[in-house]
Amino acid sequence: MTSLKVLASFVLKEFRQLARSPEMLAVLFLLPAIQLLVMGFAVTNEVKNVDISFFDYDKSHLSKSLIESFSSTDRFRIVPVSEAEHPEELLFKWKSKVVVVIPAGFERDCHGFAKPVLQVISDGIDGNSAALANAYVQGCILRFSQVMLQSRDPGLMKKDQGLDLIVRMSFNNDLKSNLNIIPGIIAVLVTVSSMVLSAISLAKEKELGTLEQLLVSPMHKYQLVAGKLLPYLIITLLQMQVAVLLAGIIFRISLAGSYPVLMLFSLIYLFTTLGLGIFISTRVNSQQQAMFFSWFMMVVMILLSGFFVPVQNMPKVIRGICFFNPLTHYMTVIREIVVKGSNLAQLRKELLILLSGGFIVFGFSLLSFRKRVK
Amino acid sequence: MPSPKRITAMASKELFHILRDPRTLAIIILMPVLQLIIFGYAMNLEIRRVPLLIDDQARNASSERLINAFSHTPYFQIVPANQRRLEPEELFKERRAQATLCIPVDFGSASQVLLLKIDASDPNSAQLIQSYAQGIIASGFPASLDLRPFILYNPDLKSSFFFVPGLVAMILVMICALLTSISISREKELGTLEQILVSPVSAMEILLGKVLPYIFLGLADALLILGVGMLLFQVPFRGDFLVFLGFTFLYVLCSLCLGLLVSTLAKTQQAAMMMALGITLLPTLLLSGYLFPIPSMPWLLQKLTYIIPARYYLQIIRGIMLKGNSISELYQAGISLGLMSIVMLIVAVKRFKLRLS
Amino acid sequence: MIETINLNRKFGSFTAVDNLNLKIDKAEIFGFLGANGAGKTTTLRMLCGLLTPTSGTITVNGLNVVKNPEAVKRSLGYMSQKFSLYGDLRGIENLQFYTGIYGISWTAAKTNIKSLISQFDLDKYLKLKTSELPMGYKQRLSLVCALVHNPPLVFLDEPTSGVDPKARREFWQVINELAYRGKTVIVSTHFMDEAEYCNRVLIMQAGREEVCGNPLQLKQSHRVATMQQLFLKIAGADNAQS
Repeated sequence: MTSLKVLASFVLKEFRQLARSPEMLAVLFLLPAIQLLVMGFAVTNEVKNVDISFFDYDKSHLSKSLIESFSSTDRFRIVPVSEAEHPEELLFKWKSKVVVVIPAGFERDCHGFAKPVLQVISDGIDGNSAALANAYVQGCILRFSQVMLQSRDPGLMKKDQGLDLIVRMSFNNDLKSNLNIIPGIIAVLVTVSSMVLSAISLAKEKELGTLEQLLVSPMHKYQLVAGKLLPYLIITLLQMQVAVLLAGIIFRISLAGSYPVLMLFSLIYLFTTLGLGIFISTRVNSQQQAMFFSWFMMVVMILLSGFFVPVQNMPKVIRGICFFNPLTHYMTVIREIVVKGSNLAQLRKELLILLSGGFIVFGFSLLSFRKRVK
Repeated sequence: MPSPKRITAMASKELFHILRDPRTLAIIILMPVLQLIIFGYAMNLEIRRVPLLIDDQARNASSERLINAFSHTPYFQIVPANQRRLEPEELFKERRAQATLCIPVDFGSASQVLLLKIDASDPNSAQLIQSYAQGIIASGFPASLDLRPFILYNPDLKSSFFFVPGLVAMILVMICALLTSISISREKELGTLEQILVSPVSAMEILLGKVLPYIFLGLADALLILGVGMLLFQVPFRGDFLVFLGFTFLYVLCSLCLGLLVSTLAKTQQAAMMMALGITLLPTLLLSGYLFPIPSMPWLLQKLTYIIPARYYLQIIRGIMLKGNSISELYQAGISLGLMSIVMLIVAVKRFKLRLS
Repeated sequence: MIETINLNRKFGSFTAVDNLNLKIDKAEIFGFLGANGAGKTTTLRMLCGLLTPTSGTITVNGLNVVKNPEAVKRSLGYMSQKFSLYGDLRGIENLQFYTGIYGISWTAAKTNIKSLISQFDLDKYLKLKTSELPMGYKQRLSLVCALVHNPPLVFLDEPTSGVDPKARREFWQVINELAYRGKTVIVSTHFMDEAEYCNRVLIMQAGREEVCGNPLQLKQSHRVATMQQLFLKIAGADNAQS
């Protein structure tokens, strides 16, 4: 009973401190909302509005309709060119990203026996988006040629094309990039709030000397840790509600799976991140160090979580490292539940990993947190 | 007249601050190198080992040939058919497969239709899976068109080619804007700025002395990344090094002005840290075109990128390193950086004077 | 009340406290004197269980501090030189918080706290944020926070640093009163005039006990007029030796 009272007065103090500090409140609620909005719109793997230029040396009816087929989609933005320019020069001078050269005689070859030739020159410096842009251009051209051949000679089409591949996209028929990114952002927000803020808040007590005052009290170290972490646990879960709500309202992403299951996983995951927060605070002397230290961990955790790039694309050694990154598993869980609506049984492996991870990390942090000063 | 002696005194004091905090220093130096290695080795955008389940109902020579074609690429990993005969969606939820290919009973004779179902919860991968599958299926049959793709400047689309220049832009902003803004507000908070201000040191000397060590630290760090990137990942440097240094200096100047501006806006260290993070780091990461293409963003964010210094520097450094650009292609970006520096400096100095009086 | 036997504390190769043997009685005002770095704060921290001794034993009320830290902590109040208050909380909220973490209900603690507050003239400051208080009042509030659970033993680590002389004198009046009410007060300071208020003082030098005893008797036996002179004599003798 008494120990509960002790805890309650501690939690009350934390909330009072938070309520007194408008900057902190902004950091807790406004910043995540802005982050979700900016990142939700900015972080996209889709490639749109790619600058494309055509050098049409054929000037035929067919070549014009090929060019037209590119103007019907928002993936491309056609940049006009003059005859005097050279294809590679356009890329060199940042005027265009992709150049398609249609040689003279293109239409004639399409009708005749020779195979028509097209040259696509693209700028590779953007890596990721260059690869996608390239794939789009090729897809666009292939589709065009299919339609063209089909309309000309249905019989030829069948013989040449051979196979018909029907593709169905499950869970995300429109291939919305948001659907993948937004749950990822929520996972990152949860990690930042719980880990970074708890580390900084403990480091602050250390820096100001109030921790010492707590250490001479008969309060058990478990009470101290619980009192310090409980507010951040509550706040992070609250933040998550806000984020999920915003995702629904602004990005039209509805939760496919069960809400309680998502909360259960989040609660389990928070033990790991809060444990890491304590661990960081025991290793630093000031708020600034806590900030840098946790920030450093954040970056590595995010990069190796599969947020931007799927873990399965990575080399074997790094996939091994990713296994020990709690964010990887939480990222999987939140995406599975939000997008696919997976249930607890389908996520049993992640449940086991997150449970044991939380147990180990939190336990270790508690042990390394000493009720003594250095 | 700024005295070199006083500036040296300020600069060496600042240098001691940096050197006496080895943990922060280690993070500053290790962070980019670690990021570089992660980016270079782990951030592979090409999909690999996609677990593909093939439901072969035909079981004839044609279907065998097709399955062979799929299993002989690095992109797909054929998973054994399931006993429970789960629906593809259920399989995707169990994460036992990411795509399923259904070969109908009459494959090879009458019907030529194949059904490919893809788990599109990661739309990027889904799209790539689709194009790989189409490629594999098409490769066995004559194409109707001879498409000749050429990719310039980075023919293998190596990710390190664009991560290395991007990291240099990040590091410079991190050290020159973030660290300086924190270091100035720290002096304010500790009251040591007052102590310095009562001495005969001029405001100009204070600022110069404060920023000099960070300029050197930033440049050294940037060159370190450049060196590691060129050695480990064979990132080329096609342009003129002197032109590169000139533009880089301009960018450093712009970042310093930004840091100065933040420090005049923030009252405490903590606020400076938060603001620096919000104003310098995140925009550089998200809105500069480093990781995400600007043309794909919504209209408002696209306009916002015009006030992000890294946007211009990214064009400069990628242009010089990868394209071999020179001043004539990049002068516009350079002018933008210069203009932004001047505006920020004027605002910062005005606010600084306001606070002192 | 407190007894230490062969107390030692080392930080690496540096010996902060060297073989200290102490006996402090109930209701005594016991002062630790010494220059900066003489080992006062280290000793104090070991006595209240913040720091583990390298060797030696400490017993408080017959309880071993290292073995029974929680029980010992229940019986002591501690006030540090930093006045460990939460600047963004109001005075009353700081008091509520410290009452709470000692597991005492606010209503039960109220009577005890109220008398302290009126004695310290703190009433009108309780509604203010602690960071806005004048230094002297921060110090008083900090002491009240250390006394919310009515401990028989009070540790004050340089409680008067940064406070004006008038506030210092008033503070010592309160300390006297605490001792009068039967509390044991252990205080560290480097103001020599404050040493005169103590029942007994211990002058430390480089972690060792130099002299210990009643200020009056010490002055007589060393034939000096003030504690200041005594301290300088001892420090000077030590300097001459080395």
